[in-house]
Amino acid sequence: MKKTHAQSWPKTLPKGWELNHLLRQAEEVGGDFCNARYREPYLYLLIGDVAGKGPTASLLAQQFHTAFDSATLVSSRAREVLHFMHELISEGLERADTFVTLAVVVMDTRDGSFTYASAGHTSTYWLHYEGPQAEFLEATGFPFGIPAPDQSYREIEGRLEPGDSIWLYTDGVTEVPDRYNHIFGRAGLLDVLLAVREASLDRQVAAVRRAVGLHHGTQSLPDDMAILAIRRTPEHPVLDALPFVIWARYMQVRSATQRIAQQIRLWAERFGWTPSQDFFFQWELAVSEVLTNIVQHAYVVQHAHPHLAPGRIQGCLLAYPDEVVLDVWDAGVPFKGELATRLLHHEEIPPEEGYGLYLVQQSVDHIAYRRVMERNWWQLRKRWQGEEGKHES
Amino acid sequence: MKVEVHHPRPDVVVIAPEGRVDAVSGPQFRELLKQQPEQGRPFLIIDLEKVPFMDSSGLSALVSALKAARKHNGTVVLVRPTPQVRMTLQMSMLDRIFAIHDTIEDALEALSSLLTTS
Repeated sequence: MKKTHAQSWPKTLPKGWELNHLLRQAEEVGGDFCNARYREPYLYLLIGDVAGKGPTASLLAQQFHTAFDSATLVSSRAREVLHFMHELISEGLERADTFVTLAVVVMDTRDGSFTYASAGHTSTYWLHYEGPQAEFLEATGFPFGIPAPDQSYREIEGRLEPGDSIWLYTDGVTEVPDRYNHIFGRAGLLDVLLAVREASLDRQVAAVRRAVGLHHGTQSLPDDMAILAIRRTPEHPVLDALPFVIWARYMQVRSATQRIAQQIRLWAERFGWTPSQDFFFQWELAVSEVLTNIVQHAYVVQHAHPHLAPGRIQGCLLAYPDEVVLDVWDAGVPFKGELATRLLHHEEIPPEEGYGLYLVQQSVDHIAYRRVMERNWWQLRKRWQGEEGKHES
Repeated sequence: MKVEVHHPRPDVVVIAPEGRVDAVSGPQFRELLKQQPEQGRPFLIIDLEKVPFMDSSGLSALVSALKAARKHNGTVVLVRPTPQVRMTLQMSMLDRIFAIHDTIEDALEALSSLLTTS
């Protein structure tokens, strides 16, 4: 991963803010760029994509960094930053015979209020922690380099509440194809963002990168890719988090279950938890059952037809001071069953099926299911202290 | 999943799986168990000493085997489940359905009355 275009990256940020980026170039010189500049109390973010690749694109990207740097000195509003950059760079763009999409965020780190302006850049998510909900921010003006009747830029105003984040990215993230030639898509990105939103921002960005790699089938990607994300840290941040993204296949469910179980043991050691042995067994069982349930039910069609592109499962294991939480998201069909299942062994021979969710229910303190933004969201919670064996022995 | 199978008597089979019994290995395990009664071995002793983890896929396989065994006047008993497997059996209350023994000899001994009259 090259970071040549992020020269002025802020070394420190005010407390309660996280900033992360990923810039990957498919060739030696690429056309995606991102930058961030902190001028107290404002944090300026820039992402852009020069049409085409090669030395010209790279040279132009360099000019954008310089223009951005200057623009941050003159205004604390996104539309003015964009406008000023346009003034500085339009002549050079005409000569280069190309166009550039870019987006700017100016964040007031004192209260989370921000302005957003976009020159034809249509790849921005505003993720709301409460809900959770997500908004897709549209372009507020034309790309640079395109003769347009109106080169002024509108502006979107908003406010990041604790836990909210803004994700600026280039189409290299969402247009990565899989082996069935289906792109990862905005929906794929949002699947991951929703699932890992409790993790620290660096873990979230890494999870997106892994999800794109999983989708593509190899870590070597065909296009440039840039992500620039900012988050206002939640009021009760996690102690640690393990995001995961897997295909809805049994072998991957097994590996993820083992990895999660191992992580809980590592946390117990690290945070000095001393639960009973059953605590670990119950977590491992609950994870296996929930993930298996998603393969069998949410992705019932894909499961029955292995030649189809498999569904994806994404989630995050979270360590809090008093409990462990597992969030799991999938984009399969809605769950129609009952959460509060009961086992009735009236007959001499019990039923062959139907133990899965019952075991989950018995294993954790709390199980919840919600349908959110056309996705399934499962949440399991279990306290690590004061836990008592819930099953009858 | 590796499975060791032996027959201390023509109508008894001892099956000792090795490894996790989950959705990956469950269907294969289930088939192996189910076919025993049909092949003249309706008494199944399942040795769970080398199963570190079992989920509902494994439970389904056990109950399915019990059903098949009963159809042929046999039964299924379990031997030395690991702590995780024992917990799963308890949680599902299947520990009330399956007899659980500490050794294969104990299981054979317990089955002996059934075997002599079968």
